[in-house]
Amino acid sequence: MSAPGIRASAQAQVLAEHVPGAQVTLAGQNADASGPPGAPYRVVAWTSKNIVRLVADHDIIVSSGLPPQIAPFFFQKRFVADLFSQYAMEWMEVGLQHYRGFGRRAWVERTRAWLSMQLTAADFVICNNERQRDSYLGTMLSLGIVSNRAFAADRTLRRLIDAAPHGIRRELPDWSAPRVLRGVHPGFREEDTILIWNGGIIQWYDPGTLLEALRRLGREDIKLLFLGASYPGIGDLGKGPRFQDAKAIAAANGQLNRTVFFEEGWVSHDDAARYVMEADIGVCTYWDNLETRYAHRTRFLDLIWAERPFICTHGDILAEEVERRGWGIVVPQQDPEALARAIAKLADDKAFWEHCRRNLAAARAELQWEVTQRPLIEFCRDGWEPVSPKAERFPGLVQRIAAYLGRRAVYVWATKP
Amino acid sequence: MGHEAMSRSILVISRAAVGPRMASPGIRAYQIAGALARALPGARVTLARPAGQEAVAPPEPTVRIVDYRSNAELVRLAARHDVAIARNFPPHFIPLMGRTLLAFDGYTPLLIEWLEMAERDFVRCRRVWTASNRWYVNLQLTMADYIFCADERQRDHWIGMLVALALLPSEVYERDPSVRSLVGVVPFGVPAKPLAPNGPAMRGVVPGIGAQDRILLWHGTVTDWNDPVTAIEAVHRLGKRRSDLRLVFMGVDHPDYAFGPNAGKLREAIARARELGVEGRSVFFLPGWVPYDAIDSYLAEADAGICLGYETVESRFAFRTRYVDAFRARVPLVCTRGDVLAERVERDPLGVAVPERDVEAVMAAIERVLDDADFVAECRRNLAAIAEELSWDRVIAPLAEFCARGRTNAAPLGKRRRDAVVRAGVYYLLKKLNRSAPPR
Repeated sequence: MSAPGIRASAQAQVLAEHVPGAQVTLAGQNADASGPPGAPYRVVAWTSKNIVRLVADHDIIVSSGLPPQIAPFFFQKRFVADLFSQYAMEWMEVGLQHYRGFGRRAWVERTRAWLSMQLTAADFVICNNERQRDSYLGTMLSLGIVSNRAFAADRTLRRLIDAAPHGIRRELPDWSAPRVLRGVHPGFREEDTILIWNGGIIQWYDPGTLLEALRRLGREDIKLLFLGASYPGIGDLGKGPRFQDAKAIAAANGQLNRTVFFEEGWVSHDDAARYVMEADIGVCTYWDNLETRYAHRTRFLDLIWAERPFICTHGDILAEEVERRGWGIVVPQQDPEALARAIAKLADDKAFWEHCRRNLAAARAELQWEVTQRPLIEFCRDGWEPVSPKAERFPGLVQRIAAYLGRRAVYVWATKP
Repeated sequence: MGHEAMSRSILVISRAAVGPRMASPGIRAYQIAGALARALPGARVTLARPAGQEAVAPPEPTVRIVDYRSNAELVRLAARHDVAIARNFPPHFIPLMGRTLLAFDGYTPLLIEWLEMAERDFVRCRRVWTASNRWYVNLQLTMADYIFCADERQRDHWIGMLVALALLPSEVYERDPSVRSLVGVVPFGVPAKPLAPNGPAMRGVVPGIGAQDRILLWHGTVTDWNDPVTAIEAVHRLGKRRSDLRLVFMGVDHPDYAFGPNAGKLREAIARARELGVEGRSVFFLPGWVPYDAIDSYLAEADAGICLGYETVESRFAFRTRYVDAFRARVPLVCTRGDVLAERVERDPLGVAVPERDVEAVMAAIERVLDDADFVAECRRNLAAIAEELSWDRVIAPLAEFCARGRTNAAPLGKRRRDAVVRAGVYYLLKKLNRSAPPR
């Protein structure tokens, strides 16, 4: 499971626990869908064939991508769009990586049409943080979804769109679990300080600056592990050009398999926890751009869960928390000197490291899924009337579904190999 | 900076009053013109204001002030400049697209303010009026070569709108992944000049305000999204145990007539003050509007500033321009939570931020900013720091850079021009429809 799957499972869990009388179904894309043993929800696989049946069988549909097929049920059901990323920016980065010229424009237009459709179809929208909410509110204003009636019904518009951030693992870290690195993996010695990059090296990340910082430090006792090059379902996303670049730089610096290691297979969600727990410091570097501004780097949540102080680039909303709450150190983009200093500080200043660790531990309660998903729980439990009346949205929805289907067709045609 | 950048001609347009009496839109245009003239010494800066106002000294000796009588005249004026800056451009500016660079000042979230105002009596058909506003704002973004606003939250909101309107294509992002060259942040600044009070303004002048009284100043107008009644209730209740409190609403006649004494909220406040018997005793509504250069006298006499509102989506995106005066005067604030500056008030601290509609919290906050000397001293130090951070000469930088660069990073011109024509057309139709609707 990667972040979207983890999020959907956690939502199914807390809805089943906190919405009295609710029967919750988790519909996954994988054919071998199964939940954890004893899960209070049902797990099914959805296909283009059974999706209509599934929608018909439920009162509330929560999805990170509401399909056009929901239109016939628009007036009978309640729909929640879970837009946990600012897709306009994230998919912009994807588009820059994969397409050129007209294909790229067609991709961006398809994204826009898709977003307009989601925001119009949804009776309630949740996203990952306040910045995403502010930008989506702007989009909704331009699209006319914030009507006079919507505004009169809720002057805060929190019942139209709210932030429901990603949570952390519920169970406490099991410090007695067997080790996976020191004494097991030949590259990691007992006295080493281990840095972990726990997540893929996607287009918008900058591992080069990190490798340069380590090269300048030139310390044999500081080891870096890149964990999670493969993504389930979208296998090549993690092994794109940035991953290859990182490997090439590490090889050229003579760091590869000496102080820098790449775990190339997909590590399960449970195993990832053990790697993170064994590391001393988390690290992730990227660019301070618009993608970063709206991003919610879910990989940081495992670091918070395992109380690993971490280093990240400025510009991210969680980086602001790192700075304000003392969870680690924030560095400017592309600044290997600052990064080297930050690594040395966390590696050598045990009192500072311990201070950060305690601050991370203090955040555990507020990052539980039942806390972060409260807006979703309340929407499902209290069943309030949609703030933006369905009748007002319907003409726009029909138009936007048509626009989306058209844009998607153009995109498919334009990017045909 | 090349010679060309230095000699650029820049037109700052105020749609609101610029003169001895002005409210925040006029003040902003006036200060932006001055700050640009200082930042770009070779540039020719013109400040355009609606005709029919009293004379006012230019913000800088090199800034020329010009009166305009019609949109057509304004467009002719703008055509003679390299850059035009305004809070909104009428559709008459469409022919200028691609000739004069248009910089849109989005320092207020227009659509949200207008949703608040849609309840007002001059609006005939609410839904049509709101729709026409939406097309008008969408038109602004379509015409804009550069957009600037007062803070990062507003910037997120404008970027979201650009996404909706297909104004953020990959070319824009690829040229500048921060998108700062298209959407920048220019807060409402703080003038550098120190407070220059000019004789007594309230104490010993306004009957009922004595030399020993403690003044809470509501400096600025009362808008539809303010909550003066909670402040009046708090002062009334505190008045039962202390007789020195004076809550002063400074200037109730808005120069742009947007919010006058007959507008809903202020009328409500005056009525409540009369009902409680506090008007003229501990609560004062000063008639008229304090001239811009006389504000200092009032600020100098204030012990604390107060401005209350609600924690709504309006406050989320608001930059409360009046707080800037309190920063300059080092006057600690009592304000409602929810807006971006209230966060600073709470965090720095610059005063006390309170939950909405909470009379008890306002009472406690008032006593704190009046009586806790250590806290007030800490606030004053922080107020000095934020005044420095928000000085006009500092905050103007992104806009000055855009003017100096002299080119846009907006979406391709051809498509924007076509979209602008369509959006202007829909806007006109809706406006006409609203006018022809029967009065409510």
